[in-house]
Amino acid sequence: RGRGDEMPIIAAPDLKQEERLQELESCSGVGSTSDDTEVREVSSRPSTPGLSVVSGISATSEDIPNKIEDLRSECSSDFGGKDSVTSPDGEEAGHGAHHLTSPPSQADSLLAMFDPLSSGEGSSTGTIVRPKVHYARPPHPPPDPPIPEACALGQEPRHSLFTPHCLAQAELEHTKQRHSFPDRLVRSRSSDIVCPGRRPTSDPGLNRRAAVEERDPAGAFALGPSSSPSKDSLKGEDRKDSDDEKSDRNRPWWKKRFVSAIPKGVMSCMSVGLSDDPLPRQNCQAQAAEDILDKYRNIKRTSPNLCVEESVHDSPRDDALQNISADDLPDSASQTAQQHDSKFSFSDAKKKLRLALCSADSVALPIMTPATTRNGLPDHTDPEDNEIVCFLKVQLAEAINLQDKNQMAQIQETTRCVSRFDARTCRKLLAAIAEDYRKRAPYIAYLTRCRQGLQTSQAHLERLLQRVLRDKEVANRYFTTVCVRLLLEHMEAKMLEFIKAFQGCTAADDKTAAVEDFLRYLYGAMARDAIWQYASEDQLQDAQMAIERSVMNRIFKLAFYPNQDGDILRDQLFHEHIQRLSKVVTANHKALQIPEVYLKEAPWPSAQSEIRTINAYKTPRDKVQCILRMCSTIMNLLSLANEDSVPGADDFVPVLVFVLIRANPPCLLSTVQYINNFYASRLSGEECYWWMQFTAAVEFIKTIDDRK
Amino acid sequence: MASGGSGKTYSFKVVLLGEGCVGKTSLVLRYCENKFNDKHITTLQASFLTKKLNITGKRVNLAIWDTAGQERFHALGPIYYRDSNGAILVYDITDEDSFQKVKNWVKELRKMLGNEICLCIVGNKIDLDKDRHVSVEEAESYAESVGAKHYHTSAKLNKGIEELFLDLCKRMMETAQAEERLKGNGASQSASSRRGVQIVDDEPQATPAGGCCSSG
Repeated sequence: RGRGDEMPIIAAPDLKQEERLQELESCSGVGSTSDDTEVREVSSRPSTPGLSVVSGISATSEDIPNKIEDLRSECSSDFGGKDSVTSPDGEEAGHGAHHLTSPPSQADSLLAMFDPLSSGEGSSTGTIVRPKVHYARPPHPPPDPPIPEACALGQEPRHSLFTPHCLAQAELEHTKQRHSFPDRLVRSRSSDIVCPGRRPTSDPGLNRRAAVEERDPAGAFALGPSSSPSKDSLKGEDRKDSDDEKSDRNRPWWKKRFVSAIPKGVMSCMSVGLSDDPLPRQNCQAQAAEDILDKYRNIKRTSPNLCVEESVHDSPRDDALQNISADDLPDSASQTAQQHDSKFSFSDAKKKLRLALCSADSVALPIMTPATTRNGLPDHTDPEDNEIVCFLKVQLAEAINLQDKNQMAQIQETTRCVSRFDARTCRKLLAAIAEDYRKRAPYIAYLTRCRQGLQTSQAHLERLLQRVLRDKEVANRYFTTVCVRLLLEHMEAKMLEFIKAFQGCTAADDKTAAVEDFLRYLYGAMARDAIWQYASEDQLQDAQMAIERSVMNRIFKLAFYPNQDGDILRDQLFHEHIQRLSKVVTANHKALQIPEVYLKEAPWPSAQSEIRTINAYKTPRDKVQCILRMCSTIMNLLSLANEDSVPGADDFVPVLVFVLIRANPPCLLSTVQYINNFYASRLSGEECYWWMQFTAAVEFIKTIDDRK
Repeated sequence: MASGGSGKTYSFKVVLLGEGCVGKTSLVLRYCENKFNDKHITTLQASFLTKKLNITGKRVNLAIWDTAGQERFHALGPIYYRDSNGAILVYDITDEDSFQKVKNWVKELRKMLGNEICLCIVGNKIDLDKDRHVSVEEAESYAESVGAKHYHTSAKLNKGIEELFLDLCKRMMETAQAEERLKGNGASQSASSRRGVQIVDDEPQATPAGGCCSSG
């Protein structure tokens, strides 16, 4: 099946048709850029509630211009929508495009004209083969993750929404339905667009029907209740001209179909109303209605398990039809009005009830009804009241309790509408709503996936933001450092003076005090400096750190080794001691006794590499930060190893000792002394704790004897 | 780490001492996070935890320092409990040895820090009362004899833990307030007394403690 035959579109003669054509093209063309199979999967989606929902969205946003309100069946009320004319059989959802574009009656009979198999037909009848739009349209978002584009923004969004949804849907069911796709694809397209006047022949209809009969139930259902008699009768008058012609040609096949379909008991009432006299009527309304009914019967025959559901939705129509027969004037205007009326009130009630259900507490919902009866409310519960009314009364009571005026008005109105129905209709109402809900499951699934996709994107963006912020931080810090360098260049003389004074100090206390004084002096100078007048608190903090770094760099040797060679020698000895230990000490050495659970991560190389960098830092603050990072790395690894409990000091200390022995950072003792001299007073909180653990570990290492 | 008694906010350092496996970590985890051996623990570590309290209108910041309880780390004690306002000495009621260890800690703490530090002796794991090896009377009378308070707790059942920390905080506040009053009387003298005692106590002790590790 080549691309050429996939969408036979016949040019519409009248404006209205043209308008629809365009709409349809943009609608159904969405998926057509990819290969044929996919196109079919996409555009031939059968009874997809999601589709109808989508169209419902647009219906609310562009009701007037399209003048096809009556086509937008229930689907729009799925959203508590605004459609004024709805039919209870919203499940007809069938072809989204269908709804949007052409009246079902017309569509339906037109369906017959294009046999999917007679592929040459499209071109032979002067089709506009897929306008460029279809190809020009960029491939629509792949199904996963589906990206819903601006949902309710009118036509375009609607079309774009169409695709991802369809794809999602396709994934759900495509194995089941694939074989019937092409068929339906062509049907839905052609039915929407084809102008009856150009129809070449009615024969294909038969073929199509036959083809449908072969389909699996799902496929047949897809074809399903795509229109309703009431709509047809309403709409039929508009396009009488075309329908007249159509009815003539179609009669042979639909009559045949009709007869074959009748026996199904469920619809007996319908047959009563209609089977007596469909033929003589050239009237388009009747024809259209029958046409639809025919379709219904077809469904019932092909998919018995769907009958039950269908009958539920059909029932309002049944009623309408019964009315028709009762009136004995099936095609009179009054009948039409009446039919329309009951249908309207049903769908209206359904819509309102749906709204009420929307706002109801969904958790309390299931227990609400029994609660109502149990609690009695015997005074208020008129035995004639059905459960819906009971439920609504409970809701109303709650709304009154909360003084939610909006809600009260809404519920009261719903109650009014619903209470007019008898129990049977109410059950139908509930069933119709339940069915709606069920039908929307794929759409909900799609929304869920959308949400997942969005969340993934959000997480990604957050990650990106973090990265950018980090970059910003680094850049800021560098900028600050440069500014500080500029500042300190002016104060070189002072700096040299300080270094000289520092050299003169002998006692550790004096040195600490000298450094602190000089830093304070520099901080003050910075605060007075022009560059720093408008610096933020954070920038000043950074600047102070930069100044400290700069100063400590200049005096590092003097500060780190106050006793010069003595300190260096001591460090060397300790380093050698640890080196000896590292040959003996293993992770499960008895001097450490690291708990068994944690041994898997030994020898904690990431913690070791953290502490090995400690001599790259010159300020005591940076050194402490380095130690902290090592400690938290160890803690992270420990909590990773033992999922059952949180590591405490009992677990941590042996590992810390082990890591220190293995890493054996040089100048350990001088580091401890340096930090104690120049930073101890500024240590606080957690920093203080980890520093304590570090010094404790160093102390402990001193006591371990490698001979043991 | 001394109490910031001057303002409305007190900051206390409490050190957890006791043999390994007596449940120090569980105790503090239960107190700060109300968790016990939870599979869904979000806390990464339980060795340094903080808790903010409000006691009789005064804010208290509690920093709880967990320590390694294994015998071989006993020598590190002075590093652990330096500048502590309170110590919680935990033993396992099913383990006589752990109670002996508590006694050692009490001796050391009293020697080093005198009465500056508030001591709590805690018999943990009372959910295992049937295996009790440390009698209630013995433990309580001992605690009284050394001026410590005794508590029975179960981290597993979350028993007695709130009381333990609340009582301890109140006592530390009293100590801090008494100190403040002392400061008020003779600023320089008392200030030096607090600092002085610590320095004098700590430094000479720290060295021998490090040295005597082999004995401990």
